[in-house]
Amino acid sequence: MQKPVKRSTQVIRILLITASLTLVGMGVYLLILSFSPKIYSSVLGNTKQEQDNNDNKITIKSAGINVPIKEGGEEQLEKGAWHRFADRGNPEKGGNFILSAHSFVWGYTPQQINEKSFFYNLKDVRVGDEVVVHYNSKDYTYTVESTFQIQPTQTDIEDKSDNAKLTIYTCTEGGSADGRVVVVARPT
Amino acid sequence: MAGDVTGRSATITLPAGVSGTKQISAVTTMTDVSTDGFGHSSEFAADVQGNLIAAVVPGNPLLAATGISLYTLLIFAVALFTTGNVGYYISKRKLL
Repeated sequence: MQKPVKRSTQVIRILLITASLTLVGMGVYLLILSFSPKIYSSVLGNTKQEQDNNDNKITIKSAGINVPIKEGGEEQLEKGAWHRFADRGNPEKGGNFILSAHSFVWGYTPQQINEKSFFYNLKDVRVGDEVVVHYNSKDYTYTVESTFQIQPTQTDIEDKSDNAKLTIYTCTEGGSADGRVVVVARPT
Repeated sequence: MAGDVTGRSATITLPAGVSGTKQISAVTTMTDVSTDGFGHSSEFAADVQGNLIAAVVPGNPLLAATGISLYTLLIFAVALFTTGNVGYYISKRKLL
């Protein structure tokens, strides 16, 4: 009578071990996914989507950022750095040149996450870092003047400006409801 | 607008995409059965005071939403990892 009980206990134990190891594996995989953009940029170098040399793009070497600049609506966030309020500024005309891009986007593989988490490393940018914008076949160099965090409602960073400046921002690690990391740079 | 217009208001909507200075003029007329003025078909009514109401311009109350919460993902990952380890500990310690 005791044998069937022992067998069932053994089965439960095996199932529990299997489930436990699966959960541990999933936890480790999620941890890897969370840091995948950092791993890609620091270990494998910048491997984001292939870019045409004629594409508009922003490059911040100190943070491993090399992202295409896209004009249009919000859907452009899936393709690169979205040039918001294009009438408020650009490298040619001056004003407030505003760029925003995803910091972290969900994907099932590290590759998928890395491809769309364009500004994951924006928080690593420091005052004095150089920013190069390739715009309409010309290179424009900026120097980072300030970095700070704000609330999602503080839209004054997107106000028009008489002086030429570059405003770059992305979500903080707490997500879109938490705040924004902002980098302001001036033409060199 | 017809009938008794006392206290009623009319709205004029400008087409989208218009820029620069805009001027709107309006003439009010009324029809009555009297034979004075311009006759009984149509004549000008009293001047009406116009009110200018600024149109509501869509603003950008929030900055662009540019990412999901990394913290939530990390908490979920740690929870899975911990639960798995606890389960493994229970099974190996023969607590079942």
